[in-house]
Amino acid sequence: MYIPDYYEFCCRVNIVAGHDALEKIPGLLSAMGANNPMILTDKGVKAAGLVNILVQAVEKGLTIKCIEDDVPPDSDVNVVHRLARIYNETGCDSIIALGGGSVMDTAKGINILVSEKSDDLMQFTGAGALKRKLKPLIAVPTTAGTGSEVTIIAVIADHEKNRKMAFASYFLLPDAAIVDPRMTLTLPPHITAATAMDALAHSVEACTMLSKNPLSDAHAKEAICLIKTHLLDVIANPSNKEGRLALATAATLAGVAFSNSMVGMVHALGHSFGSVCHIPHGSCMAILLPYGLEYNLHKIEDRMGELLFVLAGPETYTKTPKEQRALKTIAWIRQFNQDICTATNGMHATCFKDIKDQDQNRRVPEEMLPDIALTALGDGAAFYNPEDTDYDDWLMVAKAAWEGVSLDRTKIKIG
Amino acid sequence: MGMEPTEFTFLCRTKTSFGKSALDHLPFDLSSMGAHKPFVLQDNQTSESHCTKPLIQAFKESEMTLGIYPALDRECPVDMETLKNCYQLFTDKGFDSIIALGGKQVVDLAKVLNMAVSWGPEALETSHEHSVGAPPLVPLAYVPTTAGDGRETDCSAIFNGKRFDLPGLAPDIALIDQSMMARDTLNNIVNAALTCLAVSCETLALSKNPPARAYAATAVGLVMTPLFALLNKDTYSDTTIFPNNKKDQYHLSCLVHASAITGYLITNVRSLIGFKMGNAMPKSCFASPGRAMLVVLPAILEIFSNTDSDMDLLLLNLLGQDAFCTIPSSQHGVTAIQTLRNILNNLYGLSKGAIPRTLADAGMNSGKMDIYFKAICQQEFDVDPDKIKAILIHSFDGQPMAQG
Repeated sequence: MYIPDYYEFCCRVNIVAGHDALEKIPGLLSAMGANNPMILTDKGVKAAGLVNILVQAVEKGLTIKCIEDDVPPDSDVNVVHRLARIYNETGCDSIIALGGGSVMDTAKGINILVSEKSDDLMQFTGAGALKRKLKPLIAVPTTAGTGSEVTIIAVIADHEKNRKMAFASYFLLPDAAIVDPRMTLTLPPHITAATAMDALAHSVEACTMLSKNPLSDAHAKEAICLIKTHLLDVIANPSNKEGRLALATAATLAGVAFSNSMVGMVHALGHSFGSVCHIPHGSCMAILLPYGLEYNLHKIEDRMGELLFVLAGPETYTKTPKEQRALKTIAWIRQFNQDICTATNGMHATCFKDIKDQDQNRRVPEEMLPDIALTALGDGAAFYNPEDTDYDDWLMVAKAAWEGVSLDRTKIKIG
Repeated sequence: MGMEPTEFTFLCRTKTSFGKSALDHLPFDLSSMGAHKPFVLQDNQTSESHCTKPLIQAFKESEMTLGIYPALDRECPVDMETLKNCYQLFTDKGFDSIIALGGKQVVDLAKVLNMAVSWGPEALETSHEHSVGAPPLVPLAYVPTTAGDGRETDCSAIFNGKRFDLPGLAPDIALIDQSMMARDTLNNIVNAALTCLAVSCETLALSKNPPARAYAATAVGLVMTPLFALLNKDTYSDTTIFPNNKKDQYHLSCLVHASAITGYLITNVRSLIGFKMGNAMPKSCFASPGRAMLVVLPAILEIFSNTDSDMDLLLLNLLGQDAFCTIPSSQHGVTAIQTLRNILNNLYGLSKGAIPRTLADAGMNSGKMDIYFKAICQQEFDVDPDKIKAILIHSFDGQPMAQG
């Protein structure tokens, strides 16, 4: 077991999982002295009928004061301020956040304002600005991927000033994360695949990057086991509730893992593809994961070799000579991506050049790769990457991932 | 490998910090919770080991003021007078947080004091009412100086014969720093390690709670190497003092880390049969519940391991990946149980018989099995009493179920 000289591990979120986990929300809120929640969601989630399921599950035990679905895909400071006013005006005492990362971030922002009785979110940017517990917040994730229901961070954009503000505090953690498979049952196969691969990337990077620790490793490995066992089954049979619960559980565990050990190159470059070309985060993670590992291979060969056991099972692990295990891990992930691509009838891309819009135009034009590499240079996730990186490295990896060919490892500058 | 989650909840309020100079992070951790003036509780073992010195050093440049209460006698239960004194000092001097430095006795006092200062002294009479919508407790950091039985980091406290169980009672921080390890008897440390091993192994094999399994996997890894390293000493006896050098200190800190995890597990895994049986065994036979927990564990696993258990995961964590791969999959369950029996045998040998392999080794009387059974059944079990009886019978002489 690898034990670093020093590490911290914390997840104060009450994880409540099960086929009827939503029904536990009234009890959880009431134990915190709250009965009048705001339900916060986005229009897509509402259109998918998930708000109705939630309301039916909780309305007997709670007085829902308002249901707000005006959360944009990219959380916004003005929206946060407006929704905080509605929270106060309607007499809410808690928030149920139903959705993905943007809804969670918006809920965290609202919770700061209403708990601190402030009308200026800017006061609380950065780490450690919050000093006390906020009002009750229940997170109900609907994508089984981001893990934002268990992270201490919120990123909220100020679109007028064209900047993103980060907030970090243990007090931002939701009081409970509700993992209920009904919330992901209607996700189409390719989105199920992308979100699960996001969770897989969280887990694999948690186990291999610089800040790994035994507790995050153990959470990540549980998540990996669940994803590799269930993802293809769920794609083939989307109404498989047990499989859906397993994937949703995996996403939460992966969130716990990476938020306690951080991520690296895959996420840094993925954020860039996302911000420059608006590619869904999960798709970026799926494509980039083998490349990030390939780039760092010489620094983390043992860690990657160990992962072969979890990914491919004991038989393959035993049959593979030790010095080949890391490469086999990469090959396994590539094959997994390929299997998912086949299972989704090609909707899950294995390289960026294959991602196309409705008019069959490439969503990542090759000429955008230098911009993407440049953007990755400033990403904080690169800090935890085992090997040093510069612009040329980012560009090399971006090009290989665009083309869908293995990295030429002879070109990696060994730091 | 891996049991499918069906329904589970998991809550661990405690942030774990482990490693070199972990103590240096404590002022920042406390200030990030709005604390500026911590009240320090310690026991005599801690003060005799000079553990307060590094604590004071860690706060030297923090602009925080520490108030250190005189050392409690580790051998004496804390009385109401002490609590009243602490309460008076805490409120009169404007303290805003608590640091518990030591073991179970200190943490119990810290938890109860926390209720009193946060909710008023009357909360000790009506603690259940305060659990609903109560204001948050003041920040509580636990800095263990030796391994415990896990109760230190769970949600309970025992004070003056009364037990308090509230989710908020768990410490906010469990901070394990190698330099804070106080000298203790090897005996106490081994008892703590065995509790942790038993609780973690049962969780790995029988729990369907994925976060609990993740914590348990870590705890087994933290216990196995140091346990045998510290037992591999010619000097083992009930009074051997430990640790004596930096390597020992590191091993002890790993065990202390595992003890903290045990608390998280006993809070979240409700159906721990071995834990309940171990705590109900006669104290005249078992120096600690942990010893009894490990003795009954093989029989528990024999009875409850079936298609719905995960003996693979248990074996994997006991042996490690490479050794695990040498065992045919059809043999995983049997080998996991045999590995636990081998551990018991090794501990028996290394401790020259002080650590029992069986209930008979511990001095239990076969003629009194019905009495033991009745005492154990006073615990709340979700299992058939006949199975509890079978566990007792087979743990008496360590006879595997397959042999009748």
